[in-house]
Amino acid sequence: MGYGIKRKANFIKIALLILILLGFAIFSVTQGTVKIPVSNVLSIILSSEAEASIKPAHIFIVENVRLPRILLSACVGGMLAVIGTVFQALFKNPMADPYVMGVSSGAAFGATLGIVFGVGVSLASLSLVSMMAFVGAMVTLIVVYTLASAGGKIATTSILLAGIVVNAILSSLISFIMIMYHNEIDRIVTWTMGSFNAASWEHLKLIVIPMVIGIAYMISLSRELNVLNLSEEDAKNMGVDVERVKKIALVVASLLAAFSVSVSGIIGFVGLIVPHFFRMIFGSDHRLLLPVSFIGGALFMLICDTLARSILPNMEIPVGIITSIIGGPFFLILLHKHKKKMEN
Amino acid sequence: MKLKIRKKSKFQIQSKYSSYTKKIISTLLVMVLIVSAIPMTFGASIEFNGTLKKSTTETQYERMMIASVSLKDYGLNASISGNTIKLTDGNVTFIFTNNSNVVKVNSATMTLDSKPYIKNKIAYVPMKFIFETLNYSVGYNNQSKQITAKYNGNFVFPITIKDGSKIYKFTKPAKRIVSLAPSITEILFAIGAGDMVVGRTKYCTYPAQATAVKSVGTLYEPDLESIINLNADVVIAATHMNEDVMNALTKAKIATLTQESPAKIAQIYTLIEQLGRLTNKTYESRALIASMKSKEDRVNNITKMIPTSQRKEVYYVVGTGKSEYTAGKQTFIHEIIIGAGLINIGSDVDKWSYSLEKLIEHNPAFLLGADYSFSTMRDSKNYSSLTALKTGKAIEVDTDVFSIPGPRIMDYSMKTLIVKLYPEHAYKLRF
Amino acid sequence: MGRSIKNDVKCESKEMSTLIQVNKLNFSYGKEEVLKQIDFAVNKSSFVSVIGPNGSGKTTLLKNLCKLLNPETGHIKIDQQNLTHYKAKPLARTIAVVHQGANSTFDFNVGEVVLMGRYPYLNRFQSESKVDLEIAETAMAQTSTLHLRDKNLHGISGGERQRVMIARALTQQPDLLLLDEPISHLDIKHQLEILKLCKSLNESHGLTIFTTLHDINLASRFSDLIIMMKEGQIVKIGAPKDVITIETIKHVYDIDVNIVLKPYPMIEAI
Repeated sequence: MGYGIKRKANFIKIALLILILLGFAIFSVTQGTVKIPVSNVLSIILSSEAEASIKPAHIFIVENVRLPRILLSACVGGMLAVIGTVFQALFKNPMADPYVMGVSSGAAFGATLGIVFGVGVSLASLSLVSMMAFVGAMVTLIVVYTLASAGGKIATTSILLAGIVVNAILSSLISFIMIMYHNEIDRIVTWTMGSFNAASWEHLKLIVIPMVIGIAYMISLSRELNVLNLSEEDAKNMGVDVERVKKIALVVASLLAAFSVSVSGIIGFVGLIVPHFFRMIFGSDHRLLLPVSFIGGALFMLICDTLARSILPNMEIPVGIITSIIGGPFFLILLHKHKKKMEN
Repeated sequence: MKLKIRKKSKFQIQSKYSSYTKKIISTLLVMVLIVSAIPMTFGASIEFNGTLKKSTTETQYERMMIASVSLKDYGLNASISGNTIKLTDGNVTFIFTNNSNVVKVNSATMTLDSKPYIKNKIAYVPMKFIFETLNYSVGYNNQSKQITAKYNGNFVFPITIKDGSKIYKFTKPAKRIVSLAPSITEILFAIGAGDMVVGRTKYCTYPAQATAVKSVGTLYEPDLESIINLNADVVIAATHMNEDVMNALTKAKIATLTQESPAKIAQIYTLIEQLGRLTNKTYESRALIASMKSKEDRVNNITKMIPTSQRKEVYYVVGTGKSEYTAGKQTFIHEIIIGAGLINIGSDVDKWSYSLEKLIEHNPAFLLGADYSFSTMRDSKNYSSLTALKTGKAIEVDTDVFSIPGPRIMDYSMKTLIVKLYPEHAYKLRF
Repeated sequence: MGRSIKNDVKCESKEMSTLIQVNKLNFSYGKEEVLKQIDFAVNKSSFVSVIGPNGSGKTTLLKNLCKLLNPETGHIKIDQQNLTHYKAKPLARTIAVVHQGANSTFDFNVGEVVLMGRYPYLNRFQSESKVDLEIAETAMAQTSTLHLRDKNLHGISGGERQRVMIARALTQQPDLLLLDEPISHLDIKHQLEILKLCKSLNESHGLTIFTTLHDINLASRFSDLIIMMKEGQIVKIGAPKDVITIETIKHVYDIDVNIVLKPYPMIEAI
């Protein structure tokens, strides 16, 4: 039986992927606009007492600027990739991404209101803008969900349409606000482009528990997602409670998307491309694909964010730009290779 | 003068007397004329913090100049060497140059609207400027017809600085500052605190020395690592910063100060004063404010003379093309415009957004703006009805400088407006 | 998981008990009545075809039988138990459905798809055991799809894909196999292939087959029982020689035909 060999091969591939992630994470801590010698960086991370010979500013930078940022970007990257995978399965649409439920524009709208009307208020070290973004995302999710569920059933086409419409309306509103308060345009645009600048341990604490619970839940739905891949009717006839799975998966995934967007703005491409990439390598079985997408998404986001903060001296590039610039061509190459393989 | 007395007819004798008187009278008149042209030296009586002091003063070009010898009464020791006039009281040192409007106050250099001069080994220096720098408010008592100088009070740390509803407390002067706004950077350099600026945005390019300071990105995407690595005491921004960045800086024990961008000229003075306190450059900041207020006063005197009916209409172009942006009623640029005796078309809006239709309807006599704005206007048919574009009344100004609420609002912005729009009065500026 | 030996028991004899019992079934899509007063019974191990013109309600009937649609009035009993009392997974262990146009959105290989049929037997955190893998293999062997096991579902022909779906249905180890127009989109070779496969599963394993078909002759050739429908009602039900008659065909399809007995009746259009 070929199953045993296949499983072993997959195991090795996953282990390799995790190793690459850890390796890159360590590399990433050594990178930044301030040059800190690698040996210092390592001793800051590994030892618990502060080294006398290292500048306090450097210790602070490694512990409170770089480390939380690396962890946060990895977590958000992993989340977005998993959400994308789940949505692509639920909607049976390879083009689905984490923002189809209008979560992105809802969050952007909330953030815009927070930027323009907020007075720089912080609650438990979390900015008003982040909170408003989350609220905006949740409200939009509820609206889209309600619009699309008629008679207790969720029609996936309706959701996609409702999401598109809501996105359009909110985007226009945001543009309108930008014109009315045009000296805040910079801040609004910067937010929407997505960034992990000034990520803190508080951000991380906020998302860790929802992330673990949410992703564990979605991995537990792997079999159902596999079966749904055939058709909803087939899935029903095979014993899947399709409506219940759709409802809960949509809500949980969108919630995680709302968390992601409120801590980092809108970062595109990750949730769309990472699932496809890993499907090509590991196949479509969600029991494997979901965990792998998480690791892969984390790695991809980490690479992009590290580039975003260290390519230009003294300036940040919004990470959303990097994800598109790198993700795009890379994916096209892969697609080409994959097609060739299929033709043979 | 020879008196020729001849026994002549009565008539002849009388005429000789009248020509003599004429000569005396004409000489006297000439003497009066000569005397009136020279500065009048008075012994001025100054009520200095309640005590009456008599000082030697002269008025030149509407500015009261005080003699260096009199300055001893106010604690200042004067020393003149060549063309350099040095005054010091141990806390502050003024360095003037004969017939030059450049003055150095401690570590700051600035220009004035009057020139000190040396006469008979005595230097005459602008009195109000000096007193205000020494932290006195100068006024005039109409009843007693006396100049009054009142002390404004000692200034010690800790200080509190307000920003809207937020209150910041500083227990000691800041030594390492990261400035996230061009105006802040410019003011800090102008008050001689330039060496305290350890970080700036990439847009802070004035004065030239600022470009040697490390750039930490922009206000909206600041380079957090660099700011922390600079071991700054305080980060100062104009308008609200990203809260996450502020939280991170607070964690790193770096104070952040958000000073709302000034909307009035008076707020610019307040900002300079705050920064002076923060950096313990109080003399320099007071001197800078005094010099600016004096120049503002000159401008007011000019514009007082211009009747409303003769005031020129201008429209200031902040941005054009897709939408029109101008300096509305609640902007400091608007204050500068009306302070220069002009009528601001853009004052029918509050902030910055304007409309093409209104602009066309008003068809202002003059346009002020950058050259690229005017070429945008010239390239588009929308602006073809604006006569100012065709009659040479589209006046190019450096809008970058205009947009900075800092020391150059007088030296550049206000002056440019007077020079370009009321050139006949320009000589009265004296700066 | 004692189901694994079920098929051997079935081999012995065709039991004459009722598997499907439908009484007074009515179904409407909104205001439109699609099924009217449907009554019939199907015995275990029979091969049943439902035929009739387009719009006669064949697919709607099938969907009611597998609970994709719910009847307005009337009831359906499967294996003596009311359909409404069946929970999803137990029902999936009793009835397996092969719908039209088998497809999948993403790339799965044949082996993975067939194994999905074990879903009703596994709980959330269980992974497939050796027995499950064997059942899947057997199903693939029965459907001649074993050699396709590692191929992508998108990379095989329509006929092969249909066989794979049947294999998947077989791994559910159902008592009843429902098929909705399983051969309409296939070429003649594959059409016969599929029906012969179903017939052999029916005869050797006692699997009850219930399928909707377009082709009257094929239905006649393979079925024990034919249900002829017209406009939402059952016009005739019985053995092929009783249902496929010149009058019934004329009544239902409005065409004139000759009947040739072969031993099963075959129509020849005039």
